[in-house]
This record gives sequence, structure tokens and C-alpha cells, in this order.
Amino acid sequence: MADRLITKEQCSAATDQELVAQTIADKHAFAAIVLRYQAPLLRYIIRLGCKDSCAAEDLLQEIFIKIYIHLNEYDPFLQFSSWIYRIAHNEVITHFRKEKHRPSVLPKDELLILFENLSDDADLIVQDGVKHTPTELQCALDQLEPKYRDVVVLKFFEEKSYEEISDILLIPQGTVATLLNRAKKKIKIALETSCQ
Amino acid sequence: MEEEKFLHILDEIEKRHVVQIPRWRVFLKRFSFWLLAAISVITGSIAMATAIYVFVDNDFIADHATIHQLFLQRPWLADLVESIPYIWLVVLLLFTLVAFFGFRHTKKGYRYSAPKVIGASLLSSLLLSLALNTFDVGGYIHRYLVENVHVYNKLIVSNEQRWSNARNGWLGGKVILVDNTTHLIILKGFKGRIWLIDFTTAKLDPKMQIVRGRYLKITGIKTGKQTFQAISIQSWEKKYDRRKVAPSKNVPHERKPDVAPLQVI
Repeated sequence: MADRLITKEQCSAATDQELVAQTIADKHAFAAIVLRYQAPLLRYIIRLGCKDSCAAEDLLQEIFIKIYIHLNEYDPFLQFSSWIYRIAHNEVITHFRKEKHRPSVLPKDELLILFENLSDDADLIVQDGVKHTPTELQCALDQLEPKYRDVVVLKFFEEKSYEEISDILLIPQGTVATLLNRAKKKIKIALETSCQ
Repeated sequence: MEEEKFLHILDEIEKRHVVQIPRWRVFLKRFSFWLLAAISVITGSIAMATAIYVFVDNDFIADHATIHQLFLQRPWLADLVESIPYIWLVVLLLFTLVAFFGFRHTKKGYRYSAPKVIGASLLSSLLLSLALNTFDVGGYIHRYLVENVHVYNKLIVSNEQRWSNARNGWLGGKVILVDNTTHLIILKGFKGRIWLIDFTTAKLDPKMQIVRGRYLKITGIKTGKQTFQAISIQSWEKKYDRRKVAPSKNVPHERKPDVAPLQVI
């Protein structure tokens, strides 16, 4: 057990690509990858709608096992984080499909992050001098279709670039931009109408 | 706490005896999609080459003035629409979609939008088809199918069908034998029938040589079950002039136009 323990210094010193190469040679090095990405991935799983912490942790475990299995498929020219987020996204969506239900309500603390990140889109939050509340925003987000919500989560929660979102969702960057614009418009319309 | 979590994940990996997918399988998978895309583009280009050949080969496009009288009763637009080789266009479309599927599953295929990938695939097929047609590939495929696959003739309107109408005076086919002393040609029609052509009084292009292996378009009169009296003979210029024909053992037939005056019927 002791030989598998990796210090945080060791973990932070190596790049993702180095860790991948080390893991392919020695599976114990995978611990460093798990240590580095377990917290952000767990957050991402929850943000995608999996609110049950036990289910989220089970999903996280499955995601890391999948990452381990497919490690040879990783392309070093791609950001490693994009690649593992892609696996996480697919795994979570598969989970929701099996459950035949995708929760849409975001946790309240998560919603505040979104609210802050969206604040640069002033016209979205403030309309006709009236500032919308996080609850209203939550109501608007609930009405978004999954494809729009995925982009919104990656852009405003995970703060990913268009290129990264493209790599995670396996869609062209142009489509990312289109989906994001439409998502914003839909949020705006929802805020103007039903969520007031 | 965090260490507990990741140790649990590592334990699970060991417990399940999880192994990584080997590199060769990853390579094989990537290669398969590239191969699928490449094969589809090549097949699409063959379909496009054949489509271009079949369409361009139509007499009403190039030889309209020459045999205008044969088509006077038919509107030009109807010929045009009828002559579009839809079956080959469907094949092209099908393989373009397969190419799109293959390319989309390559490592970075998702970065390109569907119209870009489909456009690039079609453009590649077009350029490749033009290259293929310099070697008459479209013609060979079309001819092979016309002569050997019965159902193909039902799926396409081709010039070969127009020239397989001996009853109305249009006969086309491949020269099997030429006898310049008796002015007889043995011709294999596109429907496989062997014809004996008498060209004693036929109008010929002085530059044209009737040799074994050459494809001809003959207008004239059907005089028997397998006999035909030729009025005019022209070679299948557009598509077969580039094709090498077997040298004839007979002396090529040459006739001065004023030796046998044209009999117009």
C-alpha cells in the first residue's frame, strides 16, 4: 500500500502528459492522476445534475476506471483535462440515460457561481433596470435543453474555453459558439417571461 | 480523506483486474476509420467518374448537330433529365455519408463541421474522378456493367441503350471482325447479339479506321434477324478514342466519299 502513495509535491511537479506516460509504464502512477482530478471531476458530475453524493462518487470511480482502460487512446496534442472531461461527460450522460432521468435543478451554491460568471453578460442578469435573482436564473436554466445546459455548465462553471468545450463534447467550435448564443437567448427569454 | 478515495479507486482497478486497451488496438481502431473514410472517398470518386462518363457520353450533348434528326421528336430537356445517372449519384451520396462517418470518428474529425467534411469529401471525389476518367475508368466500369449485369440497364439511361435499337435503325457495338473485300463487319451489340453488317454503301468518316475492338455507332436498316445494312458509320468518339484497340489483321478500310454515294432513306 505504501508504495502506491504519492506525495502532493510529486503530483504537482509532473505534467499531465508525464503522468500518463508513467501510468502506462506503471499503473501505480495512476494515483497521481486520480489525486489531481478527483475533486474537479466530482464537482463536474454534480454540476451536470447528479446530486446524490453516493451516486456521484460511484460515477467518479467508474470514470477513473474508464480513463485507466483507455489511457492509450489519449492524444498528447489534446489537453488531458479535456480528454478526461469528455470521458466524464459521456459516462454521466450514459448514467442519466440508464436512469431515464436527468435532474435539471442545480444546487443553490453552484447557482451562485453561475450567477457570478454570467454577470459580465449584464443584459442577461439585469433587464429593464430589474436585476434577476439566482432563483429566477435557476428557473430559466431548468427550461434549457440538455445540449444547451452542457455548454453553459462547461463555459460558466468549469470556465472552459471554446476549444476545450469542443474537445470535451466532440463538436466543432462553431457549434459551441452557436449553442452558447442560443442558450443565452433562451435564458433571457425565460427570464423575461415565465420566471418572473 | 482524499487519499482514501483514490486508494479505493486503485483497489477497485486491481480487484476488477482492469487492463489498459493495448496501443495496437487503439492504432487499429484509428486506422480503420481513416481507411473507411479513404475507401469511401475512392468508391465515391469511381461512382462520380462513371456518372460523369455516362452523362457526357450522351449523344445529345456533343453530337447533337450530327444526329439531330434522331432526336427531333424528343425535347432536349427531357433527354437531359433522363440522362442524369441517378443511380451513380445515389452511390456517390451513400459513400460520401460513409466517408463523413469515418472521418468524424477519426482523432480530430469532430472539429470540422458536417458541411465542411461532406464538401471536402465531394470535392476529393470530383478531383479523383477527373483523374480516373483520364484513364477511362468510368467508361470501363459502365461498359462492363452494361455488357454483364442485366439489372444495370434497367437502372440507367445510357447511350448504349439508344444505340441498341436496330429495328429503328440505330445499332452500336464492338467490332469483332472486319472484311474489307466483302465490306462486312461482324459486330457484337450491347445486348450481346452478334450482327453481320454490310457497309458496302455506307457513308464513312475518311479519317476513321474500322478495326477490331473499336466501338461503332451505325445507322441503317435491319435486313434480317442478325443482319444490318449500314447507311453511316461513326466511331464511338468521345469515350473510346483514347482506348487502345487491338490492331486489325486486315487492311483498314478506306473509302473515298464519292465512290459510294450516300443513300438517304
